Amino acid sequence: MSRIFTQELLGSMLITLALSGCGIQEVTDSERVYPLDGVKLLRAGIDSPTDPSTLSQPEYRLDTDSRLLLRLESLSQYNNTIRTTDGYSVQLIVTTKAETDAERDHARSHLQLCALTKNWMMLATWKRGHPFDSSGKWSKPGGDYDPDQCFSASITTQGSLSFNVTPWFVMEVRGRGKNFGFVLLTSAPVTIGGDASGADAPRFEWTTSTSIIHPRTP
Amino acid sequence: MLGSKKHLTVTRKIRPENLLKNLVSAFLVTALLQPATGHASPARVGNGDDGADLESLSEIKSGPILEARMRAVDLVRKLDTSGVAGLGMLEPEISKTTLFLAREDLPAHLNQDQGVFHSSMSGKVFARTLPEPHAATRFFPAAQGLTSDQLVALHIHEALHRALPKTVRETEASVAAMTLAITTPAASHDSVVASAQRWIPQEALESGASTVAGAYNDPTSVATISTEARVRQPSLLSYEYRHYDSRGEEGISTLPISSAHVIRSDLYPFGDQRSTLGIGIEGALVQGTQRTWMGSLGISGRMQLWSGRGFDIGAWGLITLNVLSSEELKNSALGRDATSVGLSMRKDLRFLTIENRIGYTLPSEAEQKISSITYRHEYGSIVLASVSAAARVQHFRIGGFAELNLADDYRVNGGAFPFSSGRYRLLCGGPKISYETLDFVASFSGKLILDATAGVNLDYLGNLLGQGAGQGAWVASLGVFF
Repeated sequence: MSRIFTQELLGSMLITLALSGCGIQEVTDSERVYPLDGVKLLRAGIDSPTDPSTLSQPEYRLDTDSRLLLRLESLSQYNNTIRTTDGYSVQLIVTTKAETDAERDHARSHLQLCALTKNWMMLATWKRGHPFDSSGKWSKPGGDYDPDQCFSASITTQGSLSFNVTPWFVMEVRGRGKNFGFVLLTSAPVTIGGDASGADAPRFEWTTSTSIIHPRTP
Repeated sequence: MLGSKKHLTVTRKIRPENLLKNLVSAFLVTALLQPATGHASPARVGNGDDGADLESLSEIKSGPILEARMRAVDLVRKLDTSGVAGLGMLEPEISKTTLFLAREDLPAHLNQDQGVFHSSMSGKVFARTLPEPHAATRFFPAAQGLTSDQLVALHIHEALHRALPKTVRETEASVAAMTLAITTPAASHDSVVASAQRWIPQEALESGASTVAGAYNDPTSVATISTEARVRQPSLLSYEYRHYDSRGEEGISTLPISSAHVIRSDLYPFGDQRSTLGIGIEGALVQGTQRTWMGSLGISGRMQLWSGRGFDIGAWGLITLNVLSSEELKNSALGRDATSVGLSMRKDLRFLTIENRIGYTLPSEAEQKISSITYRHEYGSIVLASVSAAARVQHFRIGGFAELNLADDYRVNGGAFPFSSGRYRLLCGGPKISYETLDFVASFSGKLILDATAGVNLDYLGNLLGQGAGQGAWVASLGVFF
């Protein structure tokens, strides 16, 4: 018995060593999801860069005077890992607090995700992207963005809103090495899940397009 | 003209026989009075300028006289005479005077030679010196017959003639009494202090400027300590209220700081009146718009290096620690530890006080965590140069200051955000009015940014207790010197 046990033990150890030596690792869907760590609410009238209502909230209510800055701060680390060919795309996912399909479609039609053109940090306010010298001031209050790089949303099978930002990723992050992130705008009041909401937090997904119900391209 | 006529009239009244009588009378009176005045006035030690001892001198480089000097130095060190008012320069005068030995003895024929420490029973001079700082001491062969203890006393006695305040040093009775107080076998520091208080009048110490040894041959050295010199009472306990000016949108302070209450205590327990060494502690309560935080802890060392001719030269070092800060303050751009060192130079004129300060702050870092992003603030080194001037009107000082901070690169890195300021300047200035006595000070001052690299303010220096924050501050303080 002991000999058989020893042989099985040695066999399993050899297999484990061989697999790890070859770099074989199990890839799961969850590893393709990257929660956004840079989430900051800009609201006209709030000048304090550390106002608690603009940081680490379970949900954010957006309107014409409230916008949300979104960025995966460590995105450049995945520059060579993320695939953008063979049906793969880079999606930015936000979850609304809508409970019906009509409310979700209402949110989808009013939300717009635009690529920022100026760097910012977590001390950003409605007037400034960062507090250091004159370069930190937005040229327009509420954030500087490129109107030609705005993306509309699609509704996923889970009821979230997905923005296909693959062109931005390819051009800005991979091409120019810039990762200024996005500003989420709305023309009507919409409430979305915040970075402290767990599963409903804004996130990047590197995924195939099969999960998208209503794909829309910019 | 009238004076001339009167003079002529008087002259005409003096006849030749009367003139002779008057001359004889005057001579007799002078001859009678001469010994009386000689004994009535204090015996004064002179320089022996009759010329008899100015030749045939050889420097003493060994022997019992030199050995006795070392014993004398040991004795005054043991008694800590440097800490006794009026005796601060005794030890240097003993140890640094050049010793000469004359070839022949001299008769003690000068008044200055009549003291018991100057001549022998047979009327021969033991030693002579000039009553001036740094003067040499001339020994005569008669001194070679003295015992070691007597030579020690002789060294101390001659040095006292040079080291004591000017109005006392030539009074033989005072010098002899002080010599005995120091050389008596039962002498202690306290007994020397008591003797000094008895024989050295307070007015001699405070007569405008108590001249002490040290500058006679060295024009760059200390000559006087003003009675108003801060070095006499450098210790300070003070309270300060600062109201920060945070105008403008450009600022990196992440806490809504509006003011600070600073308690400061600088104690100088070490050194003497010419060179003091002290340690200071300062703590702050930082007032926000909604609550109060415990601020930084500042530990400083200050040393009065030199004081004389109205100049006070000091060195200082300041470490600002945020270990006592609340999490909010520590976890912010202002939460760094800062270490600064520098020199200060102050000159008190009759109507004007001028002070220059130069300083250097070492580079350091602070971390700031916002949400899930940690930002690292890297502060470059800072060179500080400031000039302040104030007109003195009685106890009031009315003036202002200018301060230039030249700082190396300030960098911020966190997540995908980098920032680098490059080298930058901050020129500050402001008015200051104070009421200051030897014991008390009250002041009100303002610090404003006069010129700076675009977009830079005091937040960039990251030292709330040191250079301040925002656009400057208004400061009111009360303090007690002791």
